[in-house]
Amino acid sequence: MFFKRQQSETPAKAAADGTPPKVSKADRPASLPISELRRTVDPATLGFASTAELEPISGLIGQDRALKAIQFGTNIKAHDFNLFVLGPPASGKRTAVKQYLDLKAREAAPPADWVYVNNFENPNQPRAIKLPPGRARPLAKSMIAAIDELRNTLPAVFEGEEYQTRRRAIDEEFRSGQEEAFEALNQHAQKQNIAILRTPTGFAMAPMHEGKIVKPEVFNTLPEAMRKDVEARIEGLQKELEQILEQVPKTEKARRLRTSDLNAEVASQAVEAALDDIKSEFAGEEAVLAYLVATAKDLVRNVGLFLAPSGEESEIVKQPADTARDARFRRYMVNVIVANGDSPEGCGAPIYEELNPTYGNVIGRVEHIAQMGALVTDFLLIKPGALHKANGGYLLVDARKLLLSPFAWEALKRAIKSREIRIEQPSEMSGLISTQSLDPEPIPLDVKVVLIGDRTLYYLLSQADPDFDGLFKVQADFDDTIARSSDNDMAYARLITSIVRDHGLKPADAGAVARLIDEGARLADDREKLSIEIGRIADIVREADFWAGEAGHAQIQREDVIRAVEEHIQRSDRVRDRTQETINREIVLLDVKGAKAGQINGLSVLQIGSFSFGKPSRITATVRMGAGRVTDIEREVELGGPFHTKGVLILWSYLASVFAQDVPLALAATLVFEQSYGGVDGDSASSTELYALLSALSGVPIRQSLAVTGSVNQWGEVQAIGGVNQKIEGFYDVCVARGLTGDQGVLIPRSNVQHLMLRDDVVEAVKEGKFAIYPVGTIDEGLEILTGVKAGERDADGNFPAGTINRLVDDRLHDFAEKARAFGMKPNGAGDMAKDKR
Amino acid sequence: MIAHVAEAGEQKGRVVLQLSGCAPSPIALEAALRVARAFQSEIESLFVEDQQLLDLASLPFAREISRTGGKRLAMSPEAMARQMRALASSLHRQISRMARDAEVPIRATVVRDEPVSAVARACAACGPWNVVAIAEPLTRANAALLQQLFGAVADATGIVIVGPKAKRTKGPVIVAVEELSHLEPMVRAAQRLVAEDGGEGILAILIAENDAEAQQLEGQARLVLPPGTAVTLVRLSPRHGSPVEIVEGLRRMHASFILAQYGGFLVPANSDLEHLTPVLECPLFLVR
Repeated sequence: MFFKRQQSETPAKAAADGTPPKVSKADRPASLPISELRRTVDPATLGFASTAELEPISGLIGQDRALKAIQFGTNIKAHDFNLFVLGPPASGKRTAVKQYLDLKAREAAPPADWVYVNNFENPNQPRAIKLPPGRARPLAKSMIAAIDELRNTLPAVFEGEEYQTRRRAIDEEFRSGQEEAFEALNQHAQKQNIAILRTPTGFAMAPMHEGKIVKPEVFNTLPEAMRKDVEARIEGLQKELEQILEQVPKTEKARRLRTSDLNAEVASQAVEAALDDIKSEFAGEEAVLAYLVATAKDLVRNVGLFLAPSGEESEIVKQPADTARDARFRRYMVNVIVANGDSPEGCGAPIYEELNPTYGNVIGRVEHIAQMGALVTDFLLIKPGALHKANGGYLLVDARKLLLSPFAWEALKRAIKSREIRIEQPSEMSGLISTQSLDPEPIPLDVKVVLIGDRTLYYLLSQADPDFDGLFKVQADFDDTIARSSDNDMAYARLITSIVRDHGLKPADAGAVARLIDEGARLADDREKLSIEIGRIADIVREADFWAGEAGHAQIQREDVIRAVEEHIQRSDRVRDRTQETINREIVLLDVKGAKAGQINGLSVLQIGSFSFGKPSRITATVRMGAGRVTDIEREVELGGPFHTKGVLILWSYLASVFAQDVPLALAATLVFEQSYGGVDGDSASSTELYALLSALSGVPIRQSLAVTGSVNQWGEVQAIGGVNQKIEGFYDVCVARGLTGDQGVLIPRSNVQHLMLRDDVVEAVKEGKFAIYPVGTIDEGLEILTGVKAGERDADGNFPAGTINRLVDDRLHDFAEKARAFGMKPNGAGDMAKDKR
Repeated sequence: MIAHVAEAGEQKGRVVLQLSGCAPSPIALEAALRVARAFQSEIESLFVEDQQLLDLASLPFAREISRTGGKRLAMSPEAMARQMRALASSLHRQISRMARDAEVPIRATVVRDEPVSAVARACAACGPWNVVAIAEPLTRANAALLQQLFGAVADATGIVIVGPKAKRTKGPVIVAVEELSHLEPMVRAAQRLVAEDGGEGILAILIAENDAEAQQLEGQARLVLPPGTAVTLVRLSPRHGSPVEIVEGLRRMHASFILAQYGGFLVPANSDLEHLTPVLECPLFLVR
């Protein structure tokens, strides 16, 4: 015989011998005491009447690790030791970093100013000039002043008597030579009775008689010899004219050269005088002096710019356009990229936070203006980016926004690596648009970049971007919670005081503070911890302030905090209401009384935005003889996540290891979350599913007045889950709606007791004996509470006591194995999932 | 003497813009339009096909030498006529466009004649009120044209000329007065020019033989000018320099128009304008 039954009694027989071994009332575990359901702060123990008596806390509480990291990261002088500040949203990361950097930056010397100026030799490559802090704007102003001066002096000099006389002399010298030659030719021609006439495109010569051109018909009547003579004279004169005309371009060129020399000489004096002040003002700045030399040369070369009318003169005020706006003089302006002397503080390293870290906003950009349908640009259209503004100091950027901006992340890394800011247009890199652009001289970069983001992002970058770890070597990891202690309660009170002061709110009395500390623990989902999500806590305080105002309270009181929390929930719980309604109207089937085999109430948590709530669900299990596999319907239809599947496999392993160890597991079981149409993940229902399966196998009904949560391991130990408070409250709400019987309650993992921070109404119901919370450590404990029947332990012979649930399960599995043998089936010993069989 | 068309008792006056085979100065064209607008008159764009050139082109040995002296081409009357017609039509198009923009009525005429007699004929045909504007910049080479025009065109009120360095159309209007009788009509004309373009005021330069006469002229000018006339009076006499130096001084005032008397101290009759045209940066309106 392949299968051998080791236990003689069958379930039916055991039942005939007597009733199943019930768990006596005395043995039944009691509900948790009230003190375990919620940890509250007694306002009297806080030692103050209101936050008006407290000093606000400076900085953060409980973030020592992160703060040390920030300190280290900002102190270390290395271009690749940049910071990634990670932590949950609204945990005060940004504020903490900024507060620390503010202090540190104040002690530092202000970094250099930077300007872009025209490169007169190659305008497409503007030059960057470094200046001592606070000197950029004076240089820009001085250049405008110098050009302003030249706008007045140059026309005056060129209009002046001296220049005009010299100019006339040159003109006269060349003109008279040429004109005299022409005049001489003219007179010579006239003497020979030849007229020189101007045609539309040149000159022509004609015989003349008494000052008039000889008509052709007259000329043709002249004797042949005379005609030949005239022709010969004209031929000779034409040659002379040609010689004179051929000299015209050469003479003109020589005249231009002489005039240019004169212009340069006259302009140089005015230009040097105009630039002298700047030279002495920036005497020690070699780069500025070199620029001024180049500027002077260009000014002399382009002196015509100052002599031509601008055409922008106002008709009303008759005043020349502002030099800085005059297109003719753009080439001499100074584009101030960084001016560190401008801040009211006037000193310290810059701290710049880029709120919109697009490529252009981070690296800087070259803008264009449309002119006659074409896009043109020059060095004045170079706009600084966040790196320019933060250069020599600290740059704060939201990592998510940065990564969502095309090209921005790569550009930032490139700048950090190369230690210079090189402005390139993204369109150039992609080669999409070809238009006139600039290649500005790169500016050396010395900046500490602080990226702020959540943990997921940090780990993703660390894993996926090979450059990331090399460039962001310091992680400042902000914790979500702090341990609860009287000291930390007090620190929390001071934190609330800071929020009150920062937002100009009413002071909070001790009752309100105590309640806020309670809410902090509830937000932490752990009564031994306090949430330090500053943003959320600040929201509650601010809302409580509003409700205090509505209620006419001078201070924020406990009930204002409660009202704020309730109102917040009410604004967010439409989905929870609808879910509860469908259960109350029995659209979603759920029993809260009676008992049924193979059916149990499971609990899940739904997160809708910032609001989460518990939702009870019916879980059912069916069993039959089979090939040793469990069908997880959630997974079959691809609604179950990997953790849920893992939980199902673990419970199957438990089943296989605890029961029917001497026979193959000839069981086919099916598990399902009834009326669940969304995805299910997490293993918090694995113990629940196991209870349902054991009930289905044993045929012992489960109390429907109870709901269960908890994961299970292969040894049948019930393990902690998340969202325990919401889950309990979710089932409680259904029970209240259906009517509390006093028999209802929730089984939770014992290790979750420390996380309990239940609502006041739930605590009150437990206190009145209308509801119960049962902590369980093992599946056997849970089974006894759920069924009222002993679970049973193997005796020395390895048998479960008759009538116990485990014995009933064991017998059933042996029975399946026997039947399977009779059918000649070959059971699969492992807990194969149905899906694996496909 | 300058008078308004209405004062001359005519229905309308005109500006005869004389165009020849040479490229016109844009400043001269603009000046012609400005005068026409100021006096609410029309422009007669008169292109003169120089008969002498056509006669010359008929001669078998006639050659045209390019302006650079690099080419010498055979001439024919047909080619010359064609060349002049093309130039005339191009110039007319250009001037018509400018006149349309300035909202000045325009009439285009092409005549085959000698330039001076063509202008004289055009003026005589249209009545006593004419202003002749010479489109070609006046240089020493064609300065004789001015003398001939003043001699031959009896009906012209004045002649507008520009020099080869003409470049300015904005600025004050300068009136160079040498006789008291000219003062009022010249200032009136200047006022019209200023009013038309929203110009920058009028400067009346009073030129007399000596300082005492200049002072006397100023006193009389103050009596003659209606009260409230916005004119700045400046006295000048030969003591301030030769005509060339005075013209140089006027240049520095950045005028948009200069009105002067032909045949006086500043612009002597029978002068070849050698002293004037090289420094003239704005149009010069010469009146008898």
